Amino acid sequence: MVSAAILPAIVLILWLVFHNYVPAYNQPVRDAAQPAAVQPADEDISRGMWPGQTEQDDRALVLVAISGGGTRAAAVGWKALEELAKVDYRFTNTAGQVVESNLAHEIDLVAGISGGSFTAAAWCLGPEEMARFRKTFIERDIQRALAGNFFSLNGLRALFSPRYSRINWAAELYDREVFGAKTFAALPSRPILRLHATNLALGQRFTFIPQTFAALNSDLSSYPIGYACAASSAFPILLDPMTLRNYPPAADLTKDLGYLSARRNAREDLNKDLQVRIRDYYNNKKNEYLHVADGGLVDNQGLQSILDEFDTNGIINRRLNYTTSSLQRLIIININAGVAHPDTSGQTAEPPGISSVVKSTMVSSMDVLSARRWMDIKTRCSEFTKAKVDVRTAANSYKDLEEPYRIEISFRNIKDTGDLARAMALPTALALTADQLSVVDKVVPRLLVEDPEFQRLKEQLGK
Amino acid sequence: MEFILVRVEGDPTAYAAVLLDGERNGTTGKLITLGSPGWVNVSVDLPNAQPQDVNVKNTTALHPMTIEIEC
Repeated sequence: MVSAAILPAIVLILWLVFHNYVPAYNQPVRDAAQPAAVQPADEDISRGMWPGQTEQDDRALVLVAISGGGTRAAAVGWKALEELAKVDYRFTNTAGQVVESNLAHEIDLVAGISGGSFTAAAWCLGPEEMARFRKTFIERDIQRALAGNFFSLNGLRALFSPRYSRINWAAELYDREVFGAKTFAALPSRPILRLHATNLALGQRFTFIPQTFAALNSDLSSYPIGYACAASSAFPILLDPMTLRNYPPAADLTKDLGYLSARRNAREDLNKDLQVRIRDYYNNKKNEYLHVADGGLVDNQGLQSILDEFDTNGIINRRLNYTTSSLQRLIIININAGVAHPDTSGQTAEPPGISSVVKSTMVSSMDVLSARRWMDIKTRCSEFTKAKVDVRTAANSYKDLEEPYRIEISFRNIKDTGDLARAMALPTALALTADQLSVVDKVVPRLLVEDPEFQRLKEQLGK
Repeated sequence: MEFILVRVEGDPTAYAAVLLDGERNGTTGKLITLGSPGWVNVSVDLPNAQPQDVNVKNTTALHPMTIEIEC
């Protein structure tokens, strides 16, 4: 009788202790009357130029997108960046000095999705962080480390608190053991980091940038990078969505030129329509919380991030429109760790099972969309070339622009059938064996040197 | 994407800032790349200049479209 009452009593005590436990959220701006600092559009950094850093070529704009795919994506991104660092890049800087650089050093912006977000963040934090990252994330069994939480205090917190869950285990682990508690304040101004998640309320991209956090009256600089990576890689079912706070007061959007312009053009232009919906949602302060999940749910290769730089008042057209110094090279590097297996569902009359249907709807269809985005980027690049031909005026920023380079590092381009099979068999998980990592280390360098656009760039660099 | 040239009518050499969606991006007389439809504001310091709203629609396939603004 007594022992039968002990268990409910223990559960009650644990519930009392843990049910109000809350995770660490994004912080409000210190002074609500002072809007959060956002980079002005006409500053050099907003154009991908760094006049204070003479060892970098300001006439080149290099944008990199690293796809999702768990540790496989992080490893492919890491190896690709290591290979880019081996590519000699020589230029004459504004002071007239010849500078010996490398292609990786010329990167201005890195977009990361899910597993790729970790490498993107590590790269932007600098070479020391990048070297450490190989050990702290890529070569580590992250799944096992996460599972350890089941039998810890965090397990009890997740069991009894409705606001604390498995994604918080991941966020805390990445913050503490992968990124050493570094926040966005630790990022240098260059390269620009774009970490993407998915806003579940809107089905749209959520990007960890000052502009987004300004709309939430929140301070990005104090937000841990590990938390952002956790949000970007919060794949549904495996991990819960990450929650952020949306702080008052609401902004007066009637004085916001960008918002007013977007409203006016929303019927004609999808990007403007999406901008309006996002601003309206964030400005409705009844939406106190924002729940975000894996960035790959809406853009699994980060290519929409690059497309937006063409389609909005982004870094590409800001740089092109800056006539004081014309742009010479636009280089876009698509690092895609996606895998595809032959689908055999058509060989049987039985309808595919739930896992096959989930894969088709969440992965395969997104791959098609990403392939379309890659083609859209090609179209935008062609339009620049056409404009250059049409304009023919001497005083324009296109006069030195080479045909933009679109370099693709993707398993789909592996020529050796044995390597292709081994690469495509790599799992989407947060743990890879040494043998599996050796496959990545073997195929990525070859994918880079065999890419025709990379060969065209190498030829140009050799002149 | 659109490519435009903005000129101040009667004063083609006038140097003025062009703002896209409220953000500075480009100058008059120089080719400007527009990512998408939006507001183009021209800030020019000329005597008696008045704020005005000019509706423009590109009906040609040619690059670039030239916009003449009367001040």
